[in-house]
Amino acid sequence: MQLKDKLAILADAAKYDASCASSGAGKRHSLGKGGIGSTEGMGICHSYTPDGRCVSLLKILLTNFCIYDCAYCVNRVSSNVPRARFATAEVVRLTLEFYKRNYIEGLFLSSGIIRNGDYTMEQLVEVARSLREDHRFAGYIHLKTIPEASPELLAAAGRYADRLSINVELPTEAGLKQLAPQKDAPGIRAAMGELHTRILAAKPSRQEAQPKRRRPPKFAPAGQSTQMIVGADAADDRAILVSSDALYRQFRMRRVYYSAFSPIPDASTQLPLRAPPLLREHRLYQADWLLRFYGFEVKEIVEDVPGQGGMLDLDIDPKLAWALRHPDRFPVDLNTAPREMLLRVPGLGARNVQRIVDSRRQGRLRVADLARLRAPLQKLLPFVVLLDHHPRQRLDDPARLRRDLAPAPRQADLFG
Amino acid sequence: MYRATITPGWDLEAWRTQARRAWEAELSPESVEWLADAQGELLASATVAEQPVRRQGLSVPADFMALAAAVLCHRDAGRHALLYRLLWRIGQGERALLGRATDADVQRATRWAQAVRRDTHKMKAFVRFRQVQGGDDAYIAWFEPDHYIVDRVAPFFMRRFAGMRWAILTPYRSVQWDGAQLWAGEGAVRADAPADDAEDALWRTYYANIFNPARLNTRMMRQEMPQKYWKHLPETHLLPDLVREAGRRVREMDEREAQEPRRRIPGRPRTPG
Repeated sequence: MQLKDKLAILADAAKYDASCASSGAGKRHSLGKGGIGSTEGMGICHSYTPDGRCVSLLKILLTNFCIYDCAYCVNRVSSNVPRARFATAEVVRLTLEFYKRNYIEGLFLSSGIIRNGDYTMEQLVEVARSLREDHRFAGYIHLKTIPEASPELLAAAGRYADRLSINVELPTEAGLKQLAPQKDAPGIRAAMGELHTRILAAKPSRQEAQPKRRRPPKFAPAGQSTQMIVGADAADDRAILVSSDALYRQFRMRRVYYSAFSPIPDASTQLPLRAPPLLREHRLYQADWLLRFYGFEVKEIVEDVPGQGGMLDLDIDPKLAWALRHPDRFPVDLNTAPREMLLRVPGLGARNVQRIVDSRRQGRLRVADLARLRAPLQKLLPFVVLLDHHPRQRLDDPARLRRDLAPAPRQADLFG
Repeated sequence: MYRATITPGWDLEAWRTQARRAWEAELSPESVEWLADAQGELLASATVAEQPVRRQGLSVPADFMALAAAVLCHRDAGRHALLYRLLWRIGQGERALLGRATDADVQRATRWAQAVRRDTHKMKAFVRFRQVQGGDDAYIAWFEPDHYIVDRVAPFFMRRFAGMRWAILTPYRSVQWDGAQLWAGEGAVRADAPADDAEDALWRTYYANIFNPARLNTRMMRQEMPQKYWKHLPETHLLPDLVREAGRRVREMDEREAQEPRRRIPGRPRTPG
């Protein structure tokens, strides 16, 4: 089989992994080192596919042969998709040649399980080793980690890779048992815990940053991430967010990705007939942001709202939904309210909150000042007080406010 | 009117020198005409540099210099004057001016700096190197930035592609890395760079196959990858076909009946099909 044909199959097989992040690796360059590659903290998207997703890394599988039979997966053993396998040298070659042309930031390598976990992990690690040692490649490397691989292989993976990830796949253990019977939920969590311990141990503490102390060996400086499939099992948004919240707390995940289960070629009969709306995935990401950057707790985001049964509102974003459930907390005076409360105002992002805090030190804010920050006034004004603005009775009727603020329904097929 | 000529027009040191002279001579923002490059040489007005020093220089906050470095790369001819007005106001006592995101001057400077940062970021993303024919491991890229950012981003490409020899050509300036040193030179034309690269075919294969037709969202794609960059990107030739075929591919997946596995799976009895 030609390299081009393998690439077609093994890129197609990799596209259901949502992560393409190339950030968080710290600063590194290739000056005076005889190779190529750099990372400067911020990721770069080198292209966008027509699904609106960023192309940052060469995201491929080493092979899509797999001994597992996970119902949601295009590569499960019982699927009839065409199969291929790269030689490790072929992945190295593709990464370097693509990188030299500035198509990519680096490599995200994953694989179906062949023979056993250790054998497969060894191959993944060998690609990363060759890039780093044989070719002095300083670009970004993200390796998928196989939970049952031995500790020595994990250590080697963390030495060469910037980021490691193990997919939790489904939000609940019951879901995993049902759709991925050969996967082992406690084993996955144990492996995440192991990665977490090693990542922590490798972070130079303030004392160790002093020149005399020996720094601990490098281990996945960009941390670990994971992915959950949304809509393949019966888990509701509350179950998903509870699970993410635990992953962030227990393992200090850099990111939990949500991947709306999407139609795949040769789908299993165990899967639901219809894919969930992509809007559900979008709302989960918004809720995830509220958890991580806006000081919200899961129970505030998915409260027991009659008729909603643990699901996020699809019509309006979760922060606006919270505000409409708590009209008593508003209006917020932008000239005096503490930052924590500014973060809870619908339509105010973290950056504009910072700008407001900076600007109000120098003079009291008016509506025109907010307009200059390009904040969405229509959404904001019902919830805030400014020197020349008060929402009056608008908060007395949240149902009406909701009708005013919910976007007009879009064509149904836009979101599948 | 007094004139101040900045050569090259995006250079922080050149602007800083002129601005310091103007400040020391107590020339108000309204009385200085700012010109980029040599365009002002023929004018009869007196230069800023010839004016007598009337007061001490001015120390400005560090974030002002960072802002100025970015704003100077903007293509708007009013950028030098805007920066001097900000400098003047800071010097006149508005020390915390830059913190006032709602001030009209600050806002314009911030917006220009953002435009420059965005252009810089997009250049890092969308430059495509093409290998020079003839065995040498050398690469050339053609790019058309919106602003005067080549000098600003060149060090990024140097740090990243240190082990290669490369050049980036743009209409107003070019930059070259020979493996040891960066060289800046004059602008070029598109024909000076190779039109394609043997690796483009593999890259297009990757691009076509990493796309998920079930999630078609061209609005998002256009927002992040504006059409003006498409001519630089080998993969965008595929876009019309990928977009047109997406609906059909998804329908086919939806309508297809579940299939029995064709492969023998060890340890599992084969269901008669």
